[in-house]
Amino acid sequence: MQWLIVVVMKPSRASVESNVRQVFRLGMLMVLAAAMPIEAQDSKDRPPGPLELRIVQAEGRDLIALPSHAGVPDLLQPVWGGLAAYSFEAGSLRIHVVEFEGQTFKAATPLDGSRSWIAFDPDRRAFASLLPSIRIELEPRPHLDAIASELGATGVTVFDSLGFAIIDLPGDLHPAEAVARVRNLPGEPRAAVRLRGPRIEWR
Amino acid sequence: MRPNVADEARRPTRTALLKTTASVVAAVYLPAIGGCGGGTTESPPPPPPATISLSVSGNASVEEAENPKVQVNVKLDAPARGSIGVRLHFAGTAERDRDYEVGADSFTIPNNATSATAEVDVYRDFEEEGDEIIEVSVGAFTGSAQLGEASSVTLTVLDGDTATVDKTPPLPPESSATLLPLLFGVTEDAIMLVVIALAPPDATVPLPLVAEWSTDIDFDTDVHMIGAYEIAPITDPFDLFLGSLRQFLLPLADLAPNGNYFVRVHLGKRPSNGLEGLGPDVYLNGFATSADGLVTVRCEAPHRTPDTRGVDPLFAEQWHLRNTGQTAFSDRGGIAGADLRMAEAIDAGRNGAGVKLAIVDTGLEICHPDLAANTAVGGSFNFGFLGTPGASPGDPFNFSTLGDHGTSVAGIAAAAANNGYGGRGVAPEVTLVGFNPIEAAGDPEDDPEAAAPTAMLQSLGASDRNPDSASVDIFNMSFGYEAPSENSQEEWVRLFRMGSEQLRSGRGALYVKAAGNQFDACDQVHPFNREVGCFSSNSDPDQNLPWLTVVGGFNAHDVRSSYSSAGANLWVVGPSGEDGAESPAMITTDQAGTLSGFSQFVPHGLTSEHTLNRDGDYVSAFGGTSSAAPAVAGAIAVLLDVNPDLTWRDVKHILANSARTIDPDIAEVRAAFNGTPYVAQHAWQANAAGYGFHNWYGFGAVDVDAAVEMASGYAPANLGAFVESEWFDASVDADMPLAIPDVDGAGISVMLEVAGMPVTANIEAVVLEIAVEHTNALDLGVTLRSAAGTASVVNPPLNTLLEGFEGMHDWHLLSNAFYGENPNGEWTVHVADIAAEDTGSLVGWRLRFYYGEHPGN
Repeated sequence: MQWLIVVVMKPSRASVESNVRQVFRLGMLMVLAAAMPIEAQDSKDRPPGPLELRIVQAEGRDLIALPSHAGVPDLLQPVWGGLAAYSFEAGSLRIHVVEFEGQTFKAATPLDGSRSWIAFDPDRRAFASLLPSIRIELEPRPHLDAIASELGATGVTVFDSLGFAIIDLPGDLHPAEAVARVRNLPGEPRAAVRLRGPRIEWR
Repeated sequence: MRPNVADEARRPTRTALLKTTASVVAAVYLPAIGGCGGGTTESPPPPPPATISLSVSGNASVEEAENPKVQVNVKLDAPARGSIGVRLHFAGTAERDRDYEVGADSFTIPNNATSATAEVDVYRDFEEEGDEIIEVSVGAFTGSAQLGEASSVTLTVLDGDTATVDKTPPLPPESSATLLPLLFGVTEDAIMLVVIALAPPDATVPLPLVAEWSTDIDFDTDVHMIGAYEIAPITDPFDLFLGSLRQFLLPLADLAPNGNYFVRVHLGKRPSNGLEGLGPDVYLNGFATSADGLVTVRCEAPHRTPDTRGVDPLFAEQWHLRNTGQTAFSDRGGIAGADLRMAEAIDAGRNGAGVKLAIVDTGLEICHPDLAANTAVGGSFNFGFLGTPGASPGDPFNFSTLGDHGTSVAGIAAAAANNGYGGRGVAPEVTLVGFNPIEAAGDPEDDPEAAAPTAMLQSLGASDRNPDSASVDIFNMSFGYEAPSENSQEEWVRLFRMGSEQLRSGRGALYVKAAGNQFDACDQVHPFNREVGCFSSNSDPDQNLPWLTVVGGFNAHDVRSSYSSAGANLWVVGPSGEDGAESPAMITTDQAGTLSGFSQFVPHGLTSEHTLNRDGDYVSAFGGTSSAAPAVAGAIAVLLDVNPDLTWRDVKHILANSARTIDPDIAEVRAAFNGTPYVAQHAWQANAAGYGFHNWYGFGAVDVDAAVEMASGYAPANLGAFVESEWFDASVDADMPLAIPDVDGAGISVMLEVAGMPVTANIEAVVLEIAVEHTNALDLGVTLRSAAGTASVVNPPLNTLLEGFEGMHDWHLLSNAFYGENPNGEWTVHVADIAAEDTGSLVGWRLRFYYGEHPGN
C-alpha cells in the first residue's frame, strides 16, 4: 500500500511545480478532528445524556479523553475547572463540543476505528487525536506478555535503547482505557497514551 | 566660560552666538599671549577662529525604507586650536526619537582636528507620513570657532511603503470542490484508490465523482472509466469540513502487462485534459505493470550502457559540486564558487567510504544505475511490504511512477562516481540504505498514520533488525512539519538523545534535517515576511532539539534559496538551488526510465529528449531544503571518511568553524513601531566566542575542503562532556504576567541571572521555553539576548504559522547563535507585539543550556 503524502519538493515553478506539486499538494489526509472556536451555542441545542470522560496524561499534560464509541449515550458534564463537554452521534460521525474559558470547540470523529479516539487539551485549547497504541516504560521491567494478553494487543515493539515498548491496541479498545488497565496490573507498569502528530511533509 | 549647551531655552541666536564666540576666543588666547613673556615686541595677530560648516556624506535625500544611517559632518576650515565643543540642533517635520535617532549631538573636536561626525539613524516604519524633513544646524559651540555660511543642512526622508498586518482569514479550502486522497494502493488483483470528496458548502446539487484510467498522462486518449459516485452536499451545521469517503478499484485484469498507466479522480466538472487541468478537485497518480501483469512493486534493474564520453556525464552541470557559472539546464547560470567548495576532496578521493547513510524518505530505488553500487545489500527496509502484494521487505520501492522523493534525495548524497552514468553524489562511496516508514501499514483497512510513528523510531536508530538502523552513521531527514507552539514529542526526544549517546559506538549518529520550504509561504505578505520569512524553521517541533543538524538551502547565486525557511535553529546551509527553469536547481537521480519520475514533467532542460538523459534516469529540477540536507549529509560522510572517530558534536563543531559566510552584506531587518525601532532579524553578527551567525544561514555555507582540512588534524572527543543544564526560570524573580504593549517596538524585556555554571562552559545550544497569553501570536516577536550581549531572534514577528493561534504554550525555541559563549550572567528575553488589535501578556520563560568545554578556552 502506498499511503499518500505531501511532497513539497520545490521543483521548477514554471514546470514541475505547476504539474507535480499540484498533484502532491492534494496528498494530505483529511483531519477529521477539526477544531475551531466559535460563538458559544445556546444551551438548548445541547443534547442531553450521560458522558464518560477520563483524564489522561500525554506529553506531560493532562488531557480530557472524550467518548468515541458508537452507542455511547450523550450528556453535558462539567469535569475540569470550568470545562464542559458534550458529545453526540450525527450520522456516521460523533460530534464533540467542549466549552472552555468562554470558547466553544468542536470536532468530529468516526464512530469506530482508531481515528475515533480523541481528547481535549486544555493547556493548548485544542483537540488531540490519540494513536491506537500506548507506550509502556521498561523500567522497572514490566511483564510485556501479560500486558499484551490483558489488552489483546495486536503488536508489541520493544525499544530497549529508548526504554519503552509500544503496544498496538485492538480497534475497539480506547487507549485511555488501556492505560488504566495496565496500571492496575501487578507492579503497576507505567503507561501513557500517544498523541497523533501532524502528517509530515517531504521538503 | 562654557555655555550651558544643555539649556535649549537659552540657546543664543546666531548673532548672539557670534558675540559669545568672540569672547571665548579672547578668553582662550589672551592669557597665552601674555604668557609668552610679555615685553614690548609686537606679537603676531592671533589666527582667526576656525569656521564651522555642516555637510552630509552622500545623498541628503534618503529612503526611509532602507533604515538609512546618515553621517552629518561637522567640519572646520582649519585645524582646531584647542578643543572646540559643538552641539547640533535638530528640527523639522520629522520627530526626533520617533522618526529618527541621533547617537550624540554634543561632541568635541580636539585640538588640531578638523572634523567630527554625527550619525542620524532614520527609522523605517510602515506608517503613512509623507516625506519628512530633518533640519540640522549648529546649535551652540565653544572654543576658537565661528559659524560659516553652511552651518545647517537639510535631510529629506522619503516615506516608505505603508503596511498593516492583514489578519483577514484566507479563503477556506472548502470554498471549492476538493479531493483529499487517502490511499493509492495495490491489492492482490486491483489498484485501490480512496479519496475524501468535499463538496463546496454552497453546493445545492450532487456533484459527480469520477475515476478514470489511461495510458496517456494527459488523458487525451485511451481513457477508461473506473467508477463514479454522486457526492451529495452535506448538511454541516457545525462547519466541520466533513467529506465523503469513497473507494475505487481498478482490476488488474483490465490492464496489459508491461504497461504504464495513470489514474485520475475528479470531483465536479470534468477537468481540462493535460497536466494544466490539475487542481484541488483532481487527483492524479501512475503505476506500471510488469511482464506478469501485476503492478511493479520491486526495483527491476534497467539495462543501461555507460556513457563513453565521460566518467560522470552530468558532473559538469552539477553546480553544487563545482560552480563555474554553468546553467545546469536552466535559463541562466550561477556564480562561480557558489558551491560546496569540495574540489580538493573530490581530487583526493574523499568519497565517504565506510560510512553508512540512511535515507529516511518515500522510498529508494536500490537498483537505480547510479545508486545500486552504493546500496547495502539487505540494508534497506520496506515498511509497506506486508500491505503490498509482491513487495520485498528489503526493497523500499515506490511504485508510484510520478517521482520518488527519496530516490532523488539519495542521489545528491550518494550517486556513484566515475561509472559513466549521470552525475555524482557528494559522497559517492558512502554505504546507502533506505527506509520508508510512512508506508508502514499492514493492509488497506489499517489506519495509515497509526504505524508510522513507531516505524519512524525504527528507522532512526532505535532498531537493530528489520530494519537495522542502529548501525547507521548519518540519518538524512528531508521531511518535517510545522505546528504552532508545539514541542517535540517525548519519544522523539528520547530517540535523538539515545542516538547521539549510543550509536556509532558512543560517538553519536548525525541527524541531518531539512529546515523547511516555508520562507515564501504566506497567504498575506507583510514587508517583514519578505525579509524574515513566513514560517520560522523553529516552528517545526523537532527542530528545537540540540541533537539535530538543521540545514537550510542556498542557490547557485550564493544567497538563500527563495523558499528556504529561516530560523535561529539553523546550523548551516547546503546547496538546494531554485526552480531549475529560470535558475539552477539540483541535478540528481530520478526514478529510472522515461515513463517514470519527475523528469517526465520537465518541459525543457534535462528531459528525456536531452542527449544526457535519454533513459530518463535524472532530473535537473529537484530542490527544496530536501536537497540541501543530503548535500550536507554527504559532506558529513566525507568528514567521517577522513576521521571516523569524530563524534556527532565534533562534526557539528567542525561545520560551524569551517562554514563560509555568504551574503555578507545582508541588512538588518528593522522598523519602528510607536516610535521605537524593533529588530526582527539581525545582520550577520559575530558572537562573543567569535562565531558568525545569521538566521538565514546559521553559521554559513558548508565548505567541504575547509572542513576536511580541520577534520584531518582534529583530535576527536575533545569538546568535553555534553551537559544538559537544569532549567533557569525567570518567573522566580520577575513579576509576571507582564502586559506586552500593543504595536510597540519597545515591547517588554525581562532579565534572568544565570549563575553557577562552569566558567569553562561553552554553549552548544540554548532552548528558551516561553509562555505567553495572547489573542493572536502572529503579532509576537521574541528575542533572546545572552549574557555576552549577543541577540538572537528566536521567533520572528508575523510567523505566519501562528496566525490566529492564542499565545505560546511553554513553547521551546532553540538558538545556535550563542555557540561557544559562556552561559553565566544576565540573559534577557524581549517580546514585542508589532501588530494592532490583539493583545496579551508574558506569563513566564526559562532557559536550558546544552554545553561542553571547548579547547582554547
